[in-house]
Amino acid sequence: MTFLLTHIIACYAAGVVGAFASLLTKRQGFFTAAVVAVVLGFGFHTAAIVQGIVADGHLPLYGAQEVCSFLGWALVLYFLIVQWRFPTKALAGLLFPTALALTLISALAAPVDQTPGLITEDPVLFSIHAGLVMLAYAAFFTMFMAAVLYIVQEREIKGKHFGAIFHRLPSLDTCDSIVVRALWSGFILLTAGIGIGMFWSYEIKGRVWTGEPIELFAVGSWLVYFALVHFRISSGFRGRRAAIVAIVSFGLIVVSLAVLRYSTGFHGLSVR
Amino acid sequence: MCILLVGANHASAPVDVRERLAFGDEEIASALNHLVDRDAIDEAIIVSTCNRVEIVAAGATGDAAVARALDFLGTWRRVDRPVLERHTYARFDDDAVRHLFRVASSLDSMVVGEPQILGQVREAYRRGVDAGTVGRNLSSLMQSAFATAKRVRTETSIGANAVSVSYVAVELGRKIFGSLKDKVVMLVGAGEMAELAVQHLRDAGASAILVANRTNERATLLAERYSATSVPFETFPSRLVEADILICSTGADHFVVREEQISRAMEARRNRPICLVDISVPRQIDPAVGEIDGAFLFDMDDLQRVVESNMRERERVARVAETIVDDEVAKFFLRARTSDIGPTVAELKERLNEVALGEFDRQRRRLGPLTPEQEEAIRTVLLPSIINKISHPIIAHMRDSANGDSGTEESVSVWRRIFRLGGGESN
Repeated sequence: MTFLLTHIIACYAAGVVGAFASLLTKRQGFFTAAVVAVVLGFGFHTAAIVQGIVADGHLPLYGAQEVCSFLGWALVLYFLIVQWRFPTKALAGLLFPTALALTLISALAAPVDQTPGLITEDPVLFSIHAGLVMLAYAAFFTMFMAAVLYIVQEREIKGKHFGAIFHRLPSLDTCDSIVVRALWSGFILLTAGIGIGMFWSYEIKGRVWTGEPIELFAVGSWLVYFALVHFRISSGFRGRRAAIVAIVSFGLIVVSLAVLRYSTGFHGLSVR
Repeated sequence: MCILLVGANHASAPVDVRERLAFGDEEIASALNHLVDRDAIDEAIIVSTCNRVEIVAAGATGDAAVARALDFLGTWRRVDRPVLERHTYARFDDDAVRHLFRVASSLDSMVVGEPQILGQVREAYRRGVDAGTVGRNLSSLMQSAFATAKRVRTETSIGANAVSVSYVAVELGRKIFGSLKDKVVMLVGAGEMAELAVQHLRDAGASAILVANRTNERATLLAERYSATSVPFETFPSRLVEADILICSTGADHFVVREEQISRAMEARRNRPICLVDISVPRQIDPAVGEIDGAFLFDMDDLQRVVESNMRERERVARVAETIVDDEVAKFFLRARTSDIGPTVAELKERLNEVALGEFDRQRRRLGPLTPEQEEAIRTVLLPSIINKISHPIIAHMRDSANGDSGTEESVSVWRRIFRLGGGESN
């Protein structure tokens, strides 16, 4: 394990402990300490990614090791953005352990020896395409977690359970605002990522669609999120039902990542 | 110096005793000057609220000060001694300081975490200062009490949740809408409790208030008081689309707000959530409203449950706050012991300086010719430096015994005797 990786894991682990301690005791000090640890870890993580870019000449997004690491980094990035606008401790309780788990998977996964020629030939297009799609996936994951918080808090309020969970979870409006913003950013990033991917495919093979399963899932996810955006604007689709759709649609992203993991064709070079 | 606290609170005395003991604002200054006799009691303040009357004092000895405080309460408030002895308590030193810190931090209040008590203690202190009955001891004690209360407020969430039914609407509203800024409140029926809730909602940032009441005078009165808009009672269903929070308290014996009205309003509101608070018994909002997605309905029992849950939450947080109080009590005594050696240190240095300068003048001729610069250097640099070197281990010893368990006063008085400082000679 590299020097940076051990430091990232130590910082994120401290963040997880601090986040849980703050949720249990409701003491601000624990939360502040957790955020400081995670910000420090994020600094190390950014340095590791920059190191990868310098070494490979493109975004380190080839193989399970690099993809997991990048997703963990992106989740922390989203947490910091959300925290700045909608301070909520409960999100840290879900997001920090996920970022830590992704970084641990990345530490344990076998590194890939050789980068395929397709990437080295056009490192910029690869970086933009893969980077945008992964940032979109991380945004949808943030949306998924905010939707989970919404559902739980809504059940507490509707069920008149005014206990520990009610006191610790953010307001419904906060959860909803995070869902909407994550939806918008994820949708825009996914649209751009797929667009760049199509352009890249056209450059190499002369067609935008190769019919691989991952492409089907990507477009399927795009359609579902497009529908969410559309109904939100046109008929105010929000509340519990919108949160449930947000949670279920994230299943598509998880399946997409799994399909990507076992792809053999054009995208077979993305994750090993 | 002994710190003393004598008084009665909601736990020790029934309300009829507390009201007999309570001090009016205008009499506090003269009462304090009567109480402080500069014999048993040197400094004092009186904290008098509806739930407590307490004298916080500093005096030479504890027992004499308690007797003095009880005599004073008995004569000034005309309460018999047996009644006083049955319903009051006396605390000394550690216990007195801890009690005061708990009071200021709202841990001893009837409603734990209520925010008013700190202001009342501050006011009591200010009155003491104005009356001239607060000296060095009480001043540092009260500053520590305020710092403790501040720490408890910032490090715990003791005052975060509502513990009065009328304030619960604000808390529930915040859990749904986040901020209440720019939210519209509609009152259907305008009882006293609805008015109280509106007052809290307005303070929390609600921008517009709509009032629909069967009797127009009451609606107009409320409309004037809260710059609200009066709505004819019959037309309120058509205005539901505007309301984010609806508080219902009419005297009707049937449902005034029905499911289909809210369903229609939700459609028009494009599913923006609505919080409905039914504070009437029998209930006047159809319970089926609570089943609608985005509509959150609470009745009196729910509000009461929130209050009870918040009380439990406060009790849990209070346990964390108690550790902060313990910590601050320890710090206070440490500071008090250390600051007690200050006057002795100053006197000691002055005494040594006197001796050194006296000897220098006496032996001056033996030193032979010196330039004015050399003489000045001896007086201002050499002698003070020697004095510092000699006094340093003595001061360190006094400070060590102040920080340790051994009595500071004993250590200080030994050194005062050795160097014949001030009152030390007579000892």
